[in-house]
Amino acid sequence: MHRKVIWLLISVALVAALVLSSCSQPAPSVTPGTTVKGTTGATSPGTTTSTPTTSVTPGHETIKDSLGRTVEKPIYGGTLTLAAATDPKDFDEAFANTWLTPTLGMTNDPLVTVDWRAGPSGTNEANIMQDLYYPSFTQWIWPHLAESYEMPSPGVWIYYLRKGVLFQNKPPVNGREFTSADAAYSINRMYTKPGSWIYNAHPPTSIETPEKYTLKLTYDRFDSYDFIRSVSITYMVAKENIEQNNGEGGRNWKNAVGTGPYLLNDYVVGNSITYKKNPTYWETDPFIPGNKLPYIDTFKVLIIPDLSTRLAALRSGKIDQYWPLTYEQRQPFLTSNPQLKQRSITGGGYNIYLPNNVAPYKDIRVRDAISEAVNRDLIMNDFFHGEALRLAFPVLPSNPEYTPFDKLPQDIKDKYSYNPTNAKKLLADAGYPTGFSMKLTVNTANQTAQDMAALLKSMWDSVGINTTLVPQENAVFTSTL
Amino acid sequence: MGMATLAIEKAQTRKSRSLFVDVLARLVREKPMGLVGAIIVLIMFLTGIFANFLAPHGYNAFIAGQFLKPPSLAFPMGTDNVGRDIFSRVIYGARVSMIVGLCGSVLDVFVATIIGSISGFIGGKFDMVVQRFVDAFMCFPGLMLLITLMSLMGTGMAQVIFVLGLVWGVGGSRVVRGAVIAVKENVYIEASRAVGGSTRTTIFRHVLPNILAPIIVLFTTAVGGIVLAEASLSFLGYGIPPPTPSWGGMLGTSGRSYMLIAPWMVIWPGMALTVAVFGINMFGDALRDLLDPRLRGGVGRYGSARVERIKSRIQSMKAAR
Repeated sequence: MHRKVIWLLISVALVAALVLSSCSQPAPSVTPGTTVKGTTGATSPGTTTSTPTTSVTPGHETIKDSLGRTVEKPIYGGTLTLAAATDPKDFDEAFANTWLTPTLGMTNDPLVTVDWRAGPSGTNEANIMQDLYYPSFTQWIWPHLAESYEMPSPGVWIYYLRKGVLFQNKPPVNGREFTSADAAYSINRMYTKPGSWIYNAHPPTSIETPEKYTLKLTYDRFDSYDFIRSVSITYMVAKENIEQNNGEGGRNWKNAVGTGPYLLNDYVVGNSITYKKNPTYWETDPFIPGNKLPYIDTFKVLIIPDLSTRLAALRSGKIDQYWPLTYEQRQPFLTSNPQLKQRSITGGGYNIYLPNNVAPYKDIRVRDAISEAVNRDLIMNDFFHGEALRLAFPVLPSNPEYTPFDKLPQDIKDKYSYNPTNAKKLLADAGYPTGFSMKLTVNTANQTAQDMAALLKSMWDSVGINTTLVPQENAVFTSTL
Repeated sequence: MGMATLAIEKAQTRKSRSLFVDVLARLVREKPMGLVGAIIVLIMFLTGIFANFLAPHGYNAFIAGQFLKPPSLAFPMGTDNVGRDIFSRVIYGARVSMIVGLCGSVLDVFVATIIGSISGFIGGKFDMVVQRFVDAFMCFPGLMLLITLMSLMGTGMAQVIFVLGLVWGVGGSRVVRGAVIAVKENVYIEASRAVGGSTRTTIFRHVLPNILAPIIVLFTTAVGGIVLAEASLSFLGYGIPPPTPSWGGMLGTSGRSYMLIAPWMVIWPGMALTVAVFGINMFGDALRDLLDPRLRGGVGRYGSARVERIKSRIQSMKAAR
């Protein structure tokens, strides 16, 4: 009996300790130490930001970069370690889409890339996800293996390739020069290989190489996506390498060879990928012209499937960088690892999709009511802690056609403003004075979406739209789209 | 004479108290931890029933400007990442846990009684075949079976109750079967057969009333297990769908994500779950001891302690004469 009482008292003491710890103030949101202004990329092009600044560690040698900033002089060497959740699905994008063949971004080059000087490391005018992950607008296109290009007539693209670019010194290419024949082969196979993700997606009617460093693509009509497909996310490969093993030579990581900044040095399934610097790489630093790239000698990617383990690896210094982190994931690092630099980027959006062809949603008044019942300011400021943008325009702020919310016409602004009184009136006008019932399907793979759905339900319930949340597993959710 | 007096005294004692009052009195007198458990269960039960009146806010009502706030006078348990009062959600979570626990246990007892009583009473090859199915069912790892069934049926309170009741019931049928096998060897069962009683009549009129004690114990012990299992399913995302608060769901969804920056989001529902299951288990253990004297060496209603008290009363009455 005494022993039971003692154990009960010990248990109560433990619980009290937990309770007292829970009553402590939350960790303060400390402003990240070093950022370029406008970290969210929310400024529209053409607006003036103050001169971008970077921090300089005292005692480090400094240099002026191409933007006129005083920056630390880059140091060559070292190892950068990152983490990935899964192994690469393939090593040849003709058999799996680009997202599943991440090694190609290190070992191979496309014909054009993006202007990284416009990104968060530079002027921060471009949205890293929308514009720099893959270029969707010519505004941020930057020459790469193609020094320049022109379109003499709609549907005809001519690319003038950079001279003196060498493949990595690995058999069977053995460091030979990259030419237009390689570009023609690389692009043609992506349109003709059944496993390619652009297989038969509006292929060019002809691919010509009039000169050693000139490539001409002719399409039956103009389509800007031809530019994206052909030259910005198609990596250049060597024919003699790919055609080993009956055309599957590129699928073996040991055969990975391109003109890129790194050689694929080692790959242990489920463990790590190691890249070594390509000593014959052609590109220079766009911020510090004259400095050959890459700076880092070794690039290592640890394969860590579990998110908690990846975060623990970042906390313990086992990896040097990780993204993306949500608000709640990165907050603890502000106190545990204050030396880590943080940067916010605009990620994906959260949208509600309504079946506009059925009642009651086909009545625009109902759709307006659904919109005006949503308190977007609360969602942006409280739910997302000020790190969100109001999607009130068809394109993102980094698009040259974007119009800021405060410059939109008043009737448009009204539709995206919180007005529950008007929402009820609109519902009454549409014939639903007591509201109606609605089911909202939510993907259970996204916890943020589920939480926001609960918030939206509360908002809609208050105006009479009786909302029932229907959580669906990811596979089921996507199959119903 | 002495034995007859003792028997009369026993009968008088039995008539003076109902089973419920007797158990309650002995719970208070002999099982202090069980009493604590009973109080906890009662508090949880009343909290669930009167949640609408006890909770200061709705379970999904967000409070603007109060997202991720620590415990304070205004919000005793703090607020979550959606600005909801955690105290209110814990209270409404008690309702969910009680509904799932009680309804699941009722279904559990129903299934266990049906399978166990029929299988145990009929016996022979029928019993052997049925028990092989039960064996096969019990071979599946419990949580894996629950998750699989929930994946097929979809999330929802009715589905959770059905799945948990069914799975627990199949396992509990063993207990009922054992009790039925013990009872069916008694003379009154043979007598019922001798006078022409059907199997159904014999089971309902003679077997079930005599295995009521283990059934009650099965019910009370199942409540705690089902509450915990529901919490596990909700934690994994297969239980009660949002935004209906479930203690397990509060732990497994946003609570787990914000644990490092808002520990109150997991501490309070975790504590509520711990205290509730502790209370249910203590109460169930005490009830088992009080109703089934064979398990605890005769401290039950007709156990040796009771006999000793009766003997001492007889002696004092004799002395008074």
